[in-house]
Amino acid sequence: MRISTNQFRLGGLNAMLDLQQLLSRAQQQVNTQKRVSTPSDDPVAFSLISNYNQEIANAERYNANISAAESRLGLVETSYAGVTNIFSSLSEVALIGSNGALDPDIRKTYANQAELRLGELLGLANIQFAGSEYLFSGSKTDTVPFARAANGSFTYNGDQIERRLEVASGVSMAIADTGFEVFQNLKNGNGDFFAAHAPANTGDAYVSPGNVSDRTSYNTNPTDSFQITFSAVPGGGFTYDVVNTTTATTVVSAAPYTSGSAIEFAGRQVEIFNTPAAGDSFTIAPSQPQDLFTTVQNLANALRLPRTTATETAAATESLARSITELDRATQHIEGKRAEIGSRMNAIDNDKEVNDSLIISSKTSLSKLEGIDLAEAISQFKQLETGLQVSQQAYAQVQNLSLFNYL
Amino acid sequence: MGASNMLQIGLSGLLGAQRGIGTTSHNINNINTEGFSRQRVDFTARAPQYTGSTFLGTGVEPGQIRRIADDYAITEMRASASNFNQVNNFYEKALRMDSLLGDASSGLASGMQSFFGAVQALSAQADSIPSRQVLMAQSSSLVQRFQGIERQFTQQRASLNLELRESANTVTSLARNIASLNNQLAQYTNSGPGDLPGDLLDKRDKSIQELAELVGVQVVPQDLNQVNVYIGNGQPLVVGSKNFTLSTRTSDADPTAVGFVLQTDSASLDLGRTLTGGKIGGAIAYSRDVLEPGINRMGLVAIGLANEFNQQHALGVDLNDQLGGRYFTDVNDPVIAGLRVGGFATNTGTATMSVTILDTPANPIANLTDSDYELRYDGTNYNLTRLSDGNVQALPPTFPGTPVDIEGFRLTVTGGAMVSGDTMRIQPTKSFAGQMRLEITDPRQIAAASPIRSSNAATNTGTVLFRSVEVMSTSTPAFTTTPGTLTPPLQIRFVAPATAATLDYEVVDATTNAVLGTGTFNVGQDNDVLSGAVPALDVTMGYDLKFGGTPRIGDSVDITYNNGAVGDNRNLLQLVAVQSAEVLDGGYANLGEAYGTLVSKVGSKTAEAALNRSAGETLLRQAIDRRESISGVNLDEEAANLIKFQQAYQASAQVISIAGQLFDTLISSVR
Repeated sequence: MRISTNQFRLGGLNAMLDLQQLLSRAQQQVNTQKRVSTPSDDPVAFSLISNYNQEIANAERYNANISAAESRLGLVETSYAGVTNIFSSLSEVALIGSNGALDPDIRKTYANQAELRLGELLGLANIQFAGSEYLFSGSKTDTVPFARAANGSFTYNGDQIERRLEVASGVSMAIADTGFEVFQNLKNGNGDFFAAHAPANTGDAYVSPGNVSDRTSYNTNPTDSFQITFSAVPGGGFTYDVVNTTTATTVVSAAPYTSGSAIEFAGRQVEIFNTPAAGDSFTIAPSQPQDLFTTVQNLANALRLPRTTATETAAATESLARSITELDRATQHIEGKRAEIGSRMNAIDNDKEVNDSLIISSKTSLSKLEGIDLAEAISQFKQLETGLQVSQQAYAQVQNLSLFNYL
Repeated sequence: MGASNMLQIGLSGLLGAQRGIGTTSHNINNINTEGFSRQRVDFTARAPQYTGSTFLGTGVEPGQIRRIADDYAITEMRASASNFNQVNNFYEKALRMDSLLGDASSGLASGMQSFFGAVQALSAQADSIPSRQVLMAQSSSLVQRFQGIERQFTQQRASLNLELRESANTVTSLARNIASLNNQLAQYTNSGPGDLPGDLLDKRDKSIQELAELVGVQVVPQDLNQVNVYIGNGQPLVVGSKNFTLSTRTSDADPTAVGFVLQTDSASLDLGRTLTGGKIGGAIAYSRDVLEPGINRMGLVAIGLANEFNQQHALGVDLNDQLGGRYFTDVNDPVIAGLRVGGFATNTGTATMSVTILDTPANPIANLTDSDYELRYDGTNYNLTRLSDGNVQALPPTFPGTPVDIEGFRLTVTGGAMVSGDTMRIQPTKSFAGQMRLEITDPRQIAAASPIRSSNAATNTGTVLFRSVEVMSTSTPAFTTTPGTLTPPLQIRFVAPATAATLDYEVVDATTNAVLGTGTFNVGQDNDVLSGAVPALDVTMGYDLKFGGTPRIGDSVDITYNNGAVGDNRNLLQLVAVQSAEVLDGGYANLGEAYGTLVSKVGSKTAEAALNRSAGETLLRQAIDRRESISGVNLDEEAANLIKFQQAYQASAQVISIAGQLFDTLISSVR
């Protein structure tokens, strides 16, 4: 085929231009270490890359939420540990305080100690995250959750909204508990009912906190109240009647009384100790809500009760026994919450592991998709570079070939 | 044979060699002239002289100067140039969009990611003003990305219009050249049989080649060595020595686009955007396949985001205890709704219309497409054409009296009426990406909290578990009667009769103590307490409550407006979910995927164009090669010719010199 001079030039020129284009592309790939940098490089791979990037970003966001949740849960856990400590030392105080032989002054110092502990407890309930966010006021994070009212009662100013964070796709985790649930929503007495002597009693009998002995029977009328009334038996001894005061029906009639033996009715069981006076009575009412602070306050109050007469001593003993029960239940309650926090932290640890392995696998897939084999890319680059040099030399040499040089 | 005869012969050789040297010099000096075809001198022996017994040679006749060219090679080069310039122009334009959309700093994907990331980050600390400010900043940066991409699109559209206008001018001036060259060539042809000036033919071919680079042409040879040139579907651009004018004008259908008009002697032909081939064809194809669908799709994604985010935001409560306001621009802002419909410039009726985006169960936003529509009134029927696929539907006879609901949007006549022959252009999603703004101005206005609070009474003896509240609407009287309170606040009271598995409950208006309804509560299960007591009470109220647990008789729960819940992030969690909700494209794509469709479409169009471009380039180079190999100048060849003609010249001069010597010898011998 005939070749024109321009064809020579164009051929060489086009070869060089093509090589330069490939070289610039190879250079870009080596510089960015990416095979795909615009959608058109590989449309299918690019959309997969976008998906992986989004998955990585999501997982990283979930991990950020997890560390936000972890730091809060950690503080909650710390608070619960403190509360548990307070309650175990208060239980000790209550046990020692219930020793009848204890010196009244020493009992008073225990009462003071209980009140000090109450202050600590309030501090733990009003704990703040990062100095600005109340952990136990539900969603009212700017509100101090617990405060003591003028009348000595404790009020909860937060709400019952549980704050949750997304820790994995579609999985949300509570990052704190509401104060309502942890500190406020407990019951007095044994949790089912509240046994107490009538204020007008004159004997030295007192009632134990009791327990539910038959749950099925209890469940038929859990909200009913009962009264146990003693009558003297001529010739010594007492009998008692149990009346359901809600329905005004007598449940137990003229049963003989022995100090410390179980009195059972409607699934409930209490023990009454010592000697009542005729006409003395005891009420068994459904448990009422009572916050943890009041529980501690009640302990302090019980330790301060006068013990000058036998009747007073009976009342004080009864109150302390009830406090011990209430403290036990409070301890169990907090331990339960603490265990829940522990399992939540375990769960988010798992979630974090899942997220981390998702990030790693996505990044691996990503580098397979968009990454280049650097060794291969560099050798390709070198090859192209050599190719271009050869083309340039060939071009220059061919351009020197001309018959006119010899004319 | 005499010496004078020899002189004549020598002279003819001399002249022939001169012409050869001249032509060779012409070739050498035009080596860099584009479109130049090498020329050759055809030498023939002169007519011999009959002497009665034999024929005596009379020298050489320096014949025609022939232009070495091949029509087939030229036609092929033209076609290849049209093809290459079309795909190249498409490729270069698409490449810009490709890198814009795929880029992490300008593309939407990373902007959307950062935006929803900021929502998620705020959910960890809903009361934090700095986190709220971060979200505001990410929101406005997202809006700017939408606007940035939209601006790129509209700038491309404007420069494309300009490019088409300038191309039309160039096409007209090339046509004028061709016509004038046609005219000259016809005159030379008419002036008698003789050589055709090769350089003029080259010039004409070069003009046609330049024309072919701009637009696809058909060239038909005519008598008198003229050619006719046609563009498009056989519309004449050059007929003999006459040329017509190609110009652009604003399209009837779309005031933002220009189309072509060809002005011939007899008529003005509206070519619109039907031209193919060349740069013009590439620009038109890019506009049709990438640019306009791209603008629409960006609008669709923007509408999806604004609509879904606004809807969910309105279901929340901000730090000022107010219901969430508009976060982004309302997709159905009356002004924007009106801009979505435009009448053709040729309309004689006065109709004005608006398009509002629907998101109802019957016609969800998932039905919205990224197509434009045309509504044509023929005097009896209103026919709506979906331009993406040409699907035509007749609107129901209730139109235009009653608005009509089409794919994800409602078409309403806002004034005037169409008359027969009128056409309206409907662009439901176009431009919203550029129209969208961030509406909230204060970080406290971010509605992070749910408007409903449920509080168990402190006296409850059972366990009432609040499972969830789903707020469906905050435009019900429950929320609107007195802003900032629930009207009425509700109380759920658990009452007899009860069994182990169930108990009754009452839904009570907490203000008047009126019992609104009674339902049965299944212990240990999740119960829809509102609709369980009064059918559709959840719809009337605008929220749905779920309770579980083991309530006891006498327990109660208060449902109130959620004042002061600064750390409540429940609505933020719902807002995060907007990112992954598959609400677009028939309910199969979330916002990111709907945008991804655009990216991968532009990406594959660009990749396809890159392939076409390199194939087209190869074909063009081959065609150029073929023509060069036939018509191109080879300097070595010309140098050889130069030597050849020089030697011939010297030889002929020698002939003359010998003729002179012969004459001298003769003269001296007779002296």
